[in-house]
Amino acid sequence: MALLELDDVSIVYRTREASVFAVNGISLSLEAGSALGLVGESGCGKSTLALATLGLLPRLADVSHGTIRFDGHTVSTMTDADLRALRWRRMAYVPQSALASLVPVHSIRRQFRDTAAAHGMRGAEADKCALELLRRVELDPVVLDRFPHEMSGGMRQRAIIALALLFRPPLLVADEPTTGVDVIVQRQIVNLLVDLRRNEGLSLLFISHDIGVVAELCDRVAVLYAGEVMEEGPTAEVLASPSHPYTMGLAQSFPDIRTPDRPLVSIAGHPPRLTERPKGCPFVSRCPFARDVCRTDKPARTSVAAGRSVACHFADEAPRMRETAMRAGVWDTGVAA
Amino acid sequence: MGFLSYAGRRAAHTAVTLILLLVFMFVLFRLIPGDPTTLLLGTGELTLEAQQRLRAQWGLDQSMLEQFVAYCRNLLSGELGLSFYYRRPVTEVIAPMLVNTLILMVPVVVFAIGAGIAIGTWLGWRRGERVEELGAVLVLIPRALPVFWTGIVFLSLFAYKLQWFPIGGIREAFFYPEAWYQFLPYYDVLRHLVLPIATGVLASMADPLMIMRTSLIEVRDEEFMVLARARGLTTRSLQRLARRSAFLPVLTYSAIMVGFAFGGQVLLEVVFTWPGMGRLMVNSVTQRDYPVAQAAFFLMAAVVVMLNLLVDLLYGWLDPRIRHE
Amino acid sequence: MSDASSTLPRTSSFDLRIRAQARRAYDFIRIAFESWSGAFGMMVLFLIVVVAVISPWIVPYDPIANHFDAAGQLKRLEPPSTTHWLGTTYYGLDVLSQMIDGTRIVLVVGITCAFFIAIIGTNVGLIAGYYGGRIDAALMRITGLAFGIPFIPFAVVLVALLGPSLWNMILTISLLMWRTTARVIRSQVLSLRERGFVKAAKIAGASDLRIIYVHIFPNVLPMTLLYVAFDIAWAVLAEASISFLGFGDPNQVSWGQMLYLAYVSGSIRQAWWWTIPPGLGLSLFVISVFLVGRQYEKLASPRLR
Repeated sequence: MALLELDDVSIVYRTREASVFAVNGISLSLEAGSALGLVGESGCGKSTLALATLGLLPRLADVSHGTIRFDGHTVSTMTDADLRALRWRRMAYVPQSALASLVPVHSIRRQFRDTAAAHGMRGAEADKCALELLRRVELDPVVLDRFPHEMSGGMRQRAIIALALLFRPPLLVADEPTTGVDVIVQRQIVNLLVDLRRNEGLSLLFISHDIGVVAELCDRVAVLYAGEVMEEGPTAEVLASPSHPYTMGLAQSFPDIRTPDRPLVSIAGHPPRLTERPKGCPFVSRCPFARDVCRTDKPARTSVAAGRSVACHFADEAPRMRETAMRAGVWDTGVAA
Repeated sequence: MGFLSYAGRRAAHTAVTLILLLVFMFVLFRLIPGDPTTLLLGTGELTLEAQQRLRAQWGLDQSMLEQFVAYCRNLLSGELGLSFYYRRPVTEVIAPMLVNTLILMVPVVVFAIGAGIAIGTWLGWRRGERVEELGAVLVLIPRALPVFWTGIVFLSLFAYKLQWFPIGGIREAFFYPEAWYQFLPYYDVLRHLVLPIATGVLASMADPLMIMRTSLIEVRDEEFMVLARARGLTTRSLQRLARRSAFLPVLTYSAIMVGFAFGGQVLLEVVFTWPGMGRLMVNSVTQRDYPVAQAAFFLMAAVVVMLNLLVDLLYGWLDPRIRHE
Repeated sequence: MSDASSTLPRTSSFDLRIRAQARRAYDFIRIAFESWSGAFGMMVLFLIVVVAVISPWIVPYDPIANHFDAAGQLKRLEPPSTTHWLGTTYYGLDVLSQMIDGTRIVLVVGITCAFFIAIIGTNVGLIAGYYGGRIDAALMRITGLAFGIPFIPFAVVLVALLGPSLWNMILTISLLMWRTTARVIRSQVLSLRERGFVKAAKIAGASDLRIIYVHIFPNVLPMTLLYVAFDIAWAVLAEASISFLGFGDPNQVSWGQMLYLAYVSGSIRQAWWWTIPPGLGLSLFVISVFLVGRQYEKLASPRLR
């Protein structure tokens, strides 16, 4: 059984004015010891999904359909009290902004101690673990008595990763941990995560819009768009030979060292507003290969190879689409042959 | 940076404000038309000649600047002048009144803030539920009731009609304890305190309550609360964490609140015939006894300013981010 | 819908602007009515305004006329009856007439003070926030001073200094109460100052004055108006408090003064018809202002919805 399983999960944010269908029927699984990357544009639902796996959805949101199972527990239906036993011990969270997420008025030492105390660990032992972990992330232990606003962005990010490792959880959910830090710190964080995976078998749910980092860190990747999975499979294969138009566009928008002179693509248009569930394929308005059926029928996710699936009506035409996708100008208008 | 340099800067700032306050107030009082001698003249107690002599004696014929310098010199040596009305040193007149005022004001402020924080937290944590929406409207009611009116209503109901509490003053002239509990120390004073404190707290608690509630609602949605939940903190710890951050605006407000409390205090003292500084101030203004009025006024203002300093220091200690300002 | 008498073409911009204003006014009222509490508040305020305006015509007796009974005795402290719906005061005056007359002070004091407070507070806030530096420090020092001065004691002194008239009261209230508005507006300006449109205006060569009043001011206006609303309530309470202490204008009938007279004549013991209505009136007025103000507050900070 997989460590983490999302089974046809839908998540809705209900506000007084309207409902936002942030996630629509997503099914994914994460095996123990592996790393799954979730990529997509802002607003595609990846952060929402991450929060849902940890049972941290805000009050306005709830899992309207489907189940989320972690380590045999049905997280989506458990109460906060029950979840507490799992939190941090079995699954930890590395949020996007360390500055906003660390308690501003507590020192780092205090944050370690509070977390430890919530799970029955004594203060002295917490300090010991903290020192060890800080060394692991290459932070000077003097940081323990600093406040978050007194540290640089990179230091904060590393501190928060150290905090996440306090109980050596089998699953780490990281929401864009490399966004907003400089490349050197980015490199440190990626190396650290690679290390943890290799030496301690850490499972990773890694959310990012940086395909390059995902390519390095994750053995599997799922491409999300407007709250649905477009394509999923082993990272190397998906990126080398994408089967979904969206993935093709994404791959073109990142610089590739092998073809440094290739102009970068920017997919014209913007993601749909999620106040209604889209009837057909959500990507239809920006897809260069869209046809009538794409507007009316939602493509089911079908398997195209071992361990790979795509949600596209014309997945078998992928090789031809790939060729077209590399042509200049194809992505500018959103409509093509 | 650090706390000490922050404290030093705030203290210097306060000193300047106090000096400005002194000057402002001095000029203000000297502008009141007529001085105490005119009042006495009006009652036929003094002849014109005697008035001149009295004025000279009290230093009223000197220039404003001379009077100010003399006043400051006296102030620094703790000498607040002589009350024109009571013919006694101002300090003697004010001191017992000050104590009486504090006996009433301190409990009012403490209970008001305490009640405000407790109810505000309770309401804020239940945001979105029906009880909270109703509560938010109900809370506005005590804020709107004029404090002197609630005092009058309480008096007529609980003191006159039901006779549960005395109708005013700080103690009975002749109080003979009968039942066993009436022998407890300060029972009589406490009996007299109930209605004024209740009135004061009712009026004053609405603001800290609303601030706490709003603050808590905002803090609950902050990202550090999300991570705190993720870390597995118990609901109680989460509430404590939220309260800790949400409490800071209430603290800032409490300094301002004391300023308002003095105003309310004056009204409370008048309604309940409480022999305190507020009532003294009002009476002394009417009597043109301006050494007393001046001293009382400056005392009140100084307390507010000093309290602001205290709150600033406390805030700087609680929230390390502020120390860099 | 043709208008034969109109000399303006139907789609003139003037016509459209009038329609836009009308719609804005309609929206303004509509927002208040979106909730029960807001509607209640709005109706009470409307009632008070109407009563104040038509008071000379609906008042049953002259508010300051003494009433005598058949035997020539002063009708002291009479409980409510068919001739005096709210009874009479210790001095034989009709309470209902005084209540009606008192609405005028509420309106005059409330609106005038709020107006002055808005002008002083907003300008101080704008100038301090925009210029920063020494001007800001100086203005904030003055504001700090204003905060340090306890209001009622100060008001008492000032009214003693200037004499107890309505205008002096308005002056006194306005002289201190601008402090909250100033602080709030200043912090708004501080954050607005860094925004793109301000920098763009600067680069385009706009003078400071122009930037402040043409660009920044319209953005702080909603906040100003919100605080103006609350200030109306505070001003009315302040006037009532000062009058209660006996420093009110003896030539005007105000609800605070009614309570003062009730108190000093020793009538609070039994004359509930004299003590309840003025306080109730003040409370209802202030609550209504709060309830209506809350509705607009929700516009200013959507998180509070």
